[in-house]
Amino acid sequence: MTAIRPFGHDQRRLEDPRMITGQAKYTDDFVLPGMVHLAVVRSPYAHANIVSVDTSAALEMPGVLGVWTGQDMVDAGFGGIPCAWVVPDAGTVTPNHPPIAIDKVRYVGDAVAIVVADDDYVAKDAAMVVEVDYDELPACTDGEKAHADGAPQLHDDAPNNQCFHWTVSGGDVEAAFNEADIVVGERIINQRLVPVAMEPRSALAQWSSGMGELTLWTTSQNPHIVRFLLSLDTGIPEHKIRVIAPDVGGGFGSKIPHYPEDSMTIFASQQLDRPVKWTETRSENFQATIHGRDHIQDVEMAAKSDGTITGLRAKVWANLGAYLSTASTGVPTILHGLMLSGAYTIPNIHEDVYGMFTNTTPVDAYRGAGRPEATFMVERLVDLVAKKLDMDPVAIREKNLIPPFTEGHEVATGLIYDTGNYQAALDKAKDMAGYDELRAQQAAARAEGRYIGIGVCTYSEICGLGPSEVAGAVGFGGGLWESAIVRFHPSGKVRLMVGINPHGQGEQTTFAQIVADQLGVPTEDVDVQYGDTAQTAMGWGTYGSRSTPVASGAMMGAIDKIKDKGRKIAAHLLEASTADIEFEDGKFYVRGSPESSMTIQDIALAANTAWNMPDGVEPGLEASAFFNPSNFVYPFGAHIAVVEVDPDTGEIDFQRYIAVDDCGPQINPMIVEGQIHGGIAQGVAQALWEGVQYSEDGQLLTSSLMDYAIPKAEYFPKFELGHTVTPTDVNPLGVKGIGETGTIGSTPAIYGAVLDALAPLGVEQVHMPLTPERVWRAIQEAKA
Amino acid sequence: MKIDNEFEVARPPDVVWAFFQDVPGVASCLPGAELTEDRGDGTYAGIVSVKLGPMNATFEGQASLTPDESTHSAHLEGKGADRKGGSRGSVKVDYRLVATDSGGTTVIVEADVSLAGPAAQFGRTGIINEMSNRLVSDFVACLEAKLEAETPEQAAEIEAGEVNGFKLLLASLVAWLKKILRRS
Amino acid sequence: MHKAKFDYHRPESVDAALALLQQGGKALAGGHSLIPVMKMRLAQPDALIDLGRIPDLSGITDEGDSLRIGATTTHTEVNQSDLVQASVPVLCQTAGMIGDPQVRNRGTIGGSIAHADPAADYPTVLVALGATVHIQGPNGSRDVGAADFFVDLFQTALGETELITAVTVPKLAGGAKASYQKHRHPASAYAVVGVCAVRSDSGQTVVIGGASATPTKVTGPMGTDEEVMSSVAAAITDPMGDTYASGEYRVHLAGVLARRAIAATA
Repeated sequence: MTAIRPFGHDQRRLEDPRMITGQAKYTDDFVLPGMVHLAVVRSPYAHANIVSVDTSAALEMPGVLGVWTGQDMVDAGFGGIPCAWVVPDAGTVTPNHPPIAIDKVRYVGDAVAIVVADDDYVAKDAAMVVEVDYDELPACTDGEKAHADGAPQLHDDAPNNQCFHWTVSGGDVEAAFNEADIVVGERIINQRLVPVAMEPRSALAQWSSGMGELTLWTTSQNPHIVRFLLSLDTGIPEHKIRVIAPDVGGGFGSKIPHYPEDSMTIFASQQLDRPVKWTETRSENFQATIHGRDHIQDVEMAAKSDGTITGLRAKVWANLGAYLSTASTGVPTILHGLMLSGAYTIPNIHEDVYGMFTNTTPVDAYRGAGRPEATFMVERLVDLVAKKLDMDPVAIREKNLIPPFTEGHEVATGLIYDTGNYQAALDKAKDMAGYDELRAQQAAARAEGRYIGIGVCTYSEICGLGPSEVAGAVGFGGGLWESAIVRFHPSGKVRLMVGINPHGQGEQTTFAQIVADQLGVPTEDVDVQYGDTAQTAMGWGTYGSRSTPVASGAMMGAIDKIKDKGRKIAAHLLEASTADIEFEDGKFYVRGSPESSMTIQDIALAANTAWNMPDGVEPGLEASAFFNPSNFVYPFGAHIAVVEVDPDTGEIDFQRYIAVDDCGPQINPMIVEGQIHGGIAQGVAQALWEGVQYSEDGQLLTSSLMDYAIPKAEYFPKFELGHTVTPTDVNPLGVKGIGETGTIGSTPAIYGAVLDALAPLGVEQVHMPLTPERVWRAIQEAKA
Repeated sequence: MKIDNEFEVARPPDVVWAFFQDVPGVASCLPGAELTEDRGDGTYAGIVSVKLGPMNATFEGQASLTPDESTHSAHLEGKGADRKGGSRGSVKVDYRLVATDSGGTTVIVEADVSLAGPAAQFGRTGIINEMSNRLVSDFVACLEAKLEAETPEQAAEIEAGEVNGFKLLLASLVAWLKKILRRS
Repeated sequence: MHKAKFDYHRPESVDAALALLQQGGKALAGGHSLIPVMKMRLAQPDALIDLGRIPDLSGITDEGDSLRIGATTTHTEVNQSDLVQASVPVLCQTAGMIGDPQVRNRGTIGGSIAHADPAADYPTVLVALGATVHIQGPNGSRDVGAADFFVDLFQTALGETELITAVTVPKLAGGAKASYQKHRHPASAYAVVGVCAVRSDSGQTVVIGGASATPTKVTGPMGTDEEVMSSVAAAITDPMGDTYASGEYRVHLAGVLARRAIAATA
């Protein structure tokens, strides 16, 4: 009998029982003796000078323990919130970001004061009566307008509100456009989105004055990075800080940053010598947790009359919000500009990106982070070329896709893609969709006056961040390697400790599957631990679809060490030569004599008791390893969307969605599917429903789930998923990331489908989100 | 939010100008408004209460009025805060009087009202705009009626219409109230 | 955000609830409109009077030519009622289109009409059906026709010390048909525009919700699609717009949905 190997098979998520029965412990669930509550007084204005802050009424309220302002934190030695990614060679300026605003507020939601009380409601009531007198200033919320002379200035050290001007250039773009047969282009608004993780942010700080130690429970995707950054702005040495991210209910990038509220709770805990908790409300989540996207892109593509793409040129205004968040500058540059070749051979590329400060919530990484903004741009341009040349969207792609490669492929932006077979994914998607038949149905429908549209996207994306040398070279203030510790207990149970921090991705299960598969122990015997800086030396966290491709490398290193040590112990106990010991399915045996064997659990007991160890071998069965990947990984795929547009109302009937994604070998196909489902939902949501709206004076108009439309399950057809398998050579298991591909591929696919449906009506462009009114208006304008 | 309004009255600019110097009289045209203090230096304090269905807010504010008699125009700025709810409102108003050929006056009012905090972020922006526009038009209608009144006594009797329907005071309301309060 | 402090009462009879109302405070039914504005601190009632435990206020009864629906009957109860399905199916259909399952399980017909949100679904349909709202107050009870009940934006004929006890809806008799067509807001599921058409012996009634402060009855010819579009546009004199849909688009949408609702009653 052959047992089903854990790797490659569906396994229900081990984390789910506690989550769906309410037993999971999130930061806000922690209650410590003597704990008190912090509320933040936030600016109702987008831009204003703080004339005065009167805390007297708040201080008089029973139960209020203290009210503090920004200067109090400065006086206590707290510095500004550091930005961890400062893009080099771009003139990047990093204005001070005080955790509580001093003198001036720069966005609606900027903190002005904090109140701590023994009850959460009292703290919030007291925050209402902190009287702040503001002197309103003109505001600017638009990344392009902010650059104009005379625009409201946010920071003295950022003239024209410019944070950076970054460029990427490859080939000879000038020549490509001069020699082109056709040039297409337009202005794309890649609108601002709110991540809306289900669990709001929370922070609970416990300062121990006697020990000079801090423990911070916080909703983080990367507790080690938070610890590192806290050591920079709180003045507490890093070895005296423990950061714990318990169960985290979603992040989508919004829980990467080190936020001001982390520091506020720490400051208050030090002031009061009591544990201090802050948990954001959904309203605060909309105002004071990072937003994503927000590009204005002026883009052009050059091509030959046979459809060969020869060049791409773009100028981008990337709205960074009022202050730099942890990874703000890297998202619209490295993660965006370097991806402009997409899945295609585009020999000549040039892009200018202007990072801009505006009176809006800070912008940072949101699912896909830079790559959706690149992929949408490239796919849109490819569709425009096809339209201009009257080519089918599939044909134009087949003409320009990078041919299959297994040993790296360098694109004009300088990236070297690892492995890919893009045509195979497109072929499979076409098959699954019945593409030719769909086109025939579309033609028949058009003849009846119905408007069916088919959208196609072929994408490649950079993830699995990444080589630490590259991280350093592009200004990221940390490494991007991972570590893992594999520890056998005497009873043969295994604990795996990793530095990544899943918050919905399911690594508690998939990593257990890897360990179980490699070491031949039952999956349920493997406990995966993460989220506590006290458990692992270091780890750079979960984002950029990196956890599996990077951490699995470290795990494999540790697993190899365990196997090696096990061989030595087995050889000693079986009285054989180490060189003759084989390891398979959890058993060490002497080559040629399989009956002479010991299980790995036997070895674990022997090692942990150490009654009889070989000379020179230490007791215990535990190993740690570090893995610094040699390259990023580049998953890819082909997505096809089918819609029908009602020309009377502009409403979109979303009919089919076919996604073929290639993340290399799949550890747990069910979890891969789940990741793709969620990704598609969020990507389609950008195209159809979501979009932040500010008033001209910077009020956040879409400030709650009443107005900001995140999708519901009923908005989607059943997704039709397929995959191809192209392993990477970057890590031992050949695995690529799958957390963001759905988001990256779906926005252009669904957008393309709607525009394809509208083509016979003469509609050429509609800005996202494609609300019924926008579609209807575009139809009316095209008719006029 | 910019709200512009223009109306004509059959009285000469001098008379209309004099009317506009009566801040309490003008304020009485704003539903829910109460002038609490005339500081005598062109600044005023007042309260504006607004109610719409279950929603209500009481804005306490101040306003300053800078009249320019030579051009029959004035600039008014006001701001106020709802201390219980955290909403804020501010308003800038310019109005000017222009003589008509028939001896009457055209009153041109340009207001820029801004709301901040929960009132601005409540979403359902259509409702807020709707309320603001209606409050403004109600206010203007009241002013018109007062200016058309035959006698000062009649004018004094005219007040903000029974605005129960308009009880939801939105930001623009507040702003308008404040403006009025600051005047005179 | 967090609500401000308030007292909470849970009376077990209408009389007890009315007595409490005389002392101030606000009646609470499903809470789906009131609680959010309290969290935004746009409403800070001193007390909430929870009507959820008053048996007399809930339930659907057959009264011959009409149905009496208690004020605290939930949308789900209306949606799943065989009685309603048999005699006024459009009400089942409408109740099933409100919000989402959680909202439908908590939200009530009395709460919906008392709040009189211009984007709510019930007001439009109740006006189109010619329903009657039963009100009880300190001075006894009175009945108000649905068309007169909705006075203005969030404003009804209900006094601050009065309660809605029930709504009476005439049965669709003699082959009369009705249809409710709605464009849902993708975030809130409120009606961006909702249109109810009723065709009976006495003719065609069309009522538009969502575009104006209160449900708007369409008058004018509706014989052809073009006539429907223009009559609807003429009826909505002052359309409301917001960040999702302008007034102009709402008027257009109302016309299209009116056509569809009328077609569905043919």
